Amino acid sequence: MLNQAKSLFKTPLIHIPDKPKKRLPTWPTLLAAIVAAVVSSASIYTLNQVAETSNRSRLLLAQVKEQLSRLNSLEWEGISKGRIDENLAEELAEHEEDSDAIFSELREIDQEQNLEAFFILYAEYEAAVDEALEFIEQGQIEQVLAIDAVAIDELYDEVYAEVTVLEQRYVAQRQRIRTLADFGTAFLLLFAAVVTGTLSQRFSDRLWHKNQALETALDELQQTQAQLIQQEKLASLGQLVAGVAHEINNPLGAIKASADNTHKALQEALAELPSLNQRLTPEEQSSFFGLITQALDGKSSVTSQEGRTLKRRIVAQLKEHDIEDARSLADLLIDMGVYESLEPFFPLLKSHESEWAVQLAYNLACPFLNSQLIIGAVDRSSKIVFALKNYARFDQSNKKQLTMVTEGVETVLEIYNNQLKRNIDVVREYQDIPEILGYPDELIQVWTNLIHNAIQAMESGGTLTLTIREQDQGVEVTVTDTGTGIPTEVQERIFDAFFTTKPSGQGSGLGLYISRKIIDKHEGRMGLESQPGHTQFKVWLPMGSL
Amino acid sequence: MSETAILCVDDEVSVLKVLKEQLKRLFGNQYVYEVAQSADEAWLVIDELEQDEIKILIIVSDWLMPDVKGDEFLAQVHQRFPEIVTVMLTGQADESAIERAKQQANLYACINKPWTEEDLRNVVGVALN
Repeated sequence: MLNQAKSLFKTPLIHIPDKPKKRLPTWPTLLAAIVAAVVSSASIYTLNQVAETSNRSRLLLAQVKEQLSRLNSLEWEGISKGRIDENLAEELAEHEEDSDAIFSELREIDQEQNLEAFFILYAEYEAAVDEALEFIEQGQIEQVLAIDAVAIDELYDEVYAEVTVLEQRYVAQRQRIRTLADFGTAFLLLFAAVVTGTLSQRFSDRLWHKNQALETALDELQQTQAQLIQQEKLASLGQLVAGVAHEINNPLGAIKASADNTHKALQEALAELPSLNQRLTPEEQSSFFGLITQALDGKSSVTSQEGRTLKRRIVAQLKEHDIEDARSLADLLIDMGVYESLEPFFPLLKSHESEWAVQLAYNLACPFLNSQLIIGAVDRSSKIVFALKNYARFDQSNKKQLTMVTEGVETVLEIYNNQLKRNIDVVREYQDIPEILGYPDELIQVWTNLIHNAIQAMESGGTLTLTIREQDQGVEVTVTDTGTGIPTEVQERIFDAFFTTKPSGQGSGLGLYISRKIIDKHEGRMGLESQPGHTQFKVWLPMGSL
Repeated sequence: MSETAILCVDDEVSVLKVLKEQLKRLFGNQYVYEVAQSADEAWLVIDELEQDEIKILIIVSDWLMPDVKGDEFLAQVHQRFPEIVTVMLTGQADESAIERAKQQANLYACINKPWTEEDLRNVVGVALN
């Protein structure tokens, strides 16, 4: 039994389903995804920066075009006026300032020196314009005209065309970069979606597996609990077996001896019977058969103490009538159950064959007397076996059934009879109660725990009081012992699993825990009050419903 | 009148009845047969027999009885009447109790329940002689 219990605990309680194989490890994947996302974001940012630069370049080039036109018109204004007045000088200065700003910014942006050709062309054009403007300032208009304004204009057109080409190139470049950045963004979003999807699927997979494992574990725990309840019951049954064996050996011994005695009695009777007519007178014979008839009437058996009192009385009575062998005759009469109104048998008792005749009558009545004993012993054994059967039964159906609480309590008292009779008085205060709907086998375990604990608390004897009565539309059972009592600090923990105050090996610490679970299952209540010399467990069970 | 007695002690009346009948059939009317259902009652019987000047030869006692157990009772008997032969008749072989009885009550024999007539004849018959 112990090994069974051990193997029960060795079996792993939880079977976690095997993890799916060949899968990416979650955390490294997540880390790689984050790195990829950061790198992609950085690239997209850089691309956008480049696009922004291109755009800025394009805008600056547009401004350059404007400046070119303006310079061109200023030049022509100077030529047409033939001089550079204050207003024109101011505008030229302003133009130069603006141009310088734009050019310096362009140079700064133009890291790849794409604008080098343009800068050279522009420098040529500006030099030509500056020369023309110098001639105008000096009033040498002829010189100016000699300079071939058309050539300057051509130079202007060339610069303007170059700027336009550059501007278009920047527009195209910006467009390309924008497209690339858009692709990057789209890819990044797609990548993020894939990673998020995969990971969330992995996590939900994992949750599902965890959930499955928990469900399995719960199932197994419930099974284990049921097994533990059964183990606990079997374990306490095991402790009881020795005592119960004794209980059964008593009636068995009586049955065996009765059979032997009957056998011998009949042998003796058959041997002696033929001489009956010779040894007894007709009057003695009638007294003889009267004695047998009275013996067969079957008086209830007397205790040994009552037997001795009767024996003294009969011995005295027989001696009064001067009957010999009074002691052994009295003994036989009492064993035959004949001890009242002995007068009719005096003729026989006074005869000098009295001892022979009474012994023969006893032998003839013996099969009957012994049958009574055997029936009694068989009843007693049946009661024990019935109690054992009730006790060890374990209903698998787990359905409530109508049950009489008193019967369960009596079953347990029967099982513990041999421990109780050593030094414990049992007081039963039972009222008539209705049957309740419940789990009879499990309730038996509750009564077992309470009664067993009470017995253990009264090592040196005491009184066990059991009351059963109807109460608040249910049944209330109290089990009270006069033992040592349960200290207050222990009372709080007494229903906890694996809590025990008994020496190692004597208690599993599950008894009261399981009892409480069983009472909970019945939606009942269980309470305890204890002081030295008076410990009472009170259980209330409702009538119950299906 | 017989001057010697055999005393049986057991808490079950049925056991006492059959045991007494069995002993009587085995050893006849030469002995007085007395029974008691507890150690306390047995002491009463012992006192009565002593008053009647009937000498107890053998006490056959159960072990598991209310209050005083068989080994304890037989030890007390042995202390007061060392010449009485002590026999235990038990359905539950409690080794330590038997050992105690052997040491403190000079236990002559232990018969297990359910017993046979043969067991009784061997143990009690030999002890009586």
